[in-house]
Amino acid sequence: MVGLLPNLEASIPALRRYAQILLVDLPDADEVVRVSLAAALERPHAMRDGPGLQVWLLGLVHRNSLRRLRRKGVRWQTSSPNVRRNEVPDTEGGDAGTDATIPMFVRLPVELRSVLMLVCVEGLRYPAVAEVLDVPVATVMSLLAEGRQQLRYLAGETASDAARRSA
Amino acid sequence: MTSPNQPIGEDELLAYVDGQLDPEQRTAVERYLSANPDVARRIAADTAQRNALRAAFASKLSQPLPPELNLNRLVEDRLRQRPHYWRLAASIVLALSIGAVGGWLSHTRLALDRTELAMSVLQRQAVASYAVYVTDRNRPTELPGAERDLLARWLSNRLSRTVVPPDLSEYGYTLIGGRLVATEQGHASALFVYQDSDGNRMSLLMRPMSPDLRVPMVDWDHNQLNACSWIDAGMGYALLGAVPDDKIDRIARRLSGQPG
Repeated sequence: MVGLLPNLEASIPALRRYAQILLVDLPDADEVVRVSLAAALERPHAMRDGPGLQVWLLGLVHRNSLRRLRRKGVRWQTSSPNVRRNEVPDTEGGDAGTDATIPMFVRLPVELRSVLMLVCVEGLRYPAVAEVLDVPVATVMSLLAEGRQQLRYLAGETASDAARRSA
Repeated sequence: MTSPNQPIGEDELLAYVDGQLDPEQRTAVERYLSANPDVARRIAADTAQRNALRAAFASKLSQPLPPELNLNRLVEDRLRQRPHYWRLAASIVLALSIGAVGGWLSHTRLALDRTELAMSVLQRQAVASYAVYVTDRNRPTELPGAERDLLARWLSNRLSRTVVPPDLSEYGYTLIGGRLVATEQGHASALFVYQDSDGNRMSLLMRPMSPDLRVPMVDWDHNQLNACSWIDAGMGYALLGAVPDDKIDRIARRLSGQPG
């Protein structure tokens, strides 16, 4: 049997990244991770060994993050994608130095950030993402398609901004 | 079987970017992309975005953890709220987690983590169930001890395994009944309530747990109550009551089949 604490510990950076990208607020994100880890320690027998552990933990962080976002009036939406607004002011999330990728990324609606983060950065398979989010795989696919489309749009916008500034 | 003319869907294109296709599908998508330069440009842009995201977060990987996310500290916080027995266990876990301990000690730690935490869940459920149900003078149970067979059938059904209230009359305890209690995870567990001729009560909680868990009996106490708990063959047992500790110990040893 593999010890749980070392595996839990190894998952913490990924949990923090995910909470940070959902909440775009470091203290909030760390509080969510702390609450989620405490909840995990309450239910050691529900924990899984191996790669399933991280999916289970991400699911906990996901639910706790959404609960916190709801309190802030941010809604997770998987439908009517065209009327969504960006809940993050353009100026936030800019602690990545000269790299424009993360500031651009956090301008996406929360559900698109979530799926892109889990798929691209954490490298989860689609069914695992569906499990974290507790939605069908088809929903993951449509959120991913839309996330990519919006990223292309934002990248084009950033490029044309840069072109305007240099003109 | 993929033919060169087989249509490629959006899902395949997404999975291509994420490297989630098997080699055969991958070849088919590559063939499709070489024939469709517009789509190929879009896929190249998506792949570049994916790589940029990975690179951006890779540079943030080394963020130091704040102290409130220190796992040892979290474990310690959890255990501090428990009966004193667990404080001892906590200090063992912490000592062993600090590292630089090899050999059999680290094996001990691996085994300790999960069993110890499982035991604490069991103990707290036993204490909570006692406080709410067993202390109820009039209606501590859902079915009376007189309907022992029905009680066993019903609870076995709900727990999906055989659950039979043990006969403790040789210790002077009469089964006054049993009930279903919920675990914090929304699963069913069983609580049996016994009483001696002076009206002192004792409860036996039976909670299904992971099949691979096995924890030998431990004695503990909570306020004025003495208790024993153990986990065997995927079932957690906790015996708790205002019973002298040597007596509850004897009963628990009988139930767990462990030599006294």
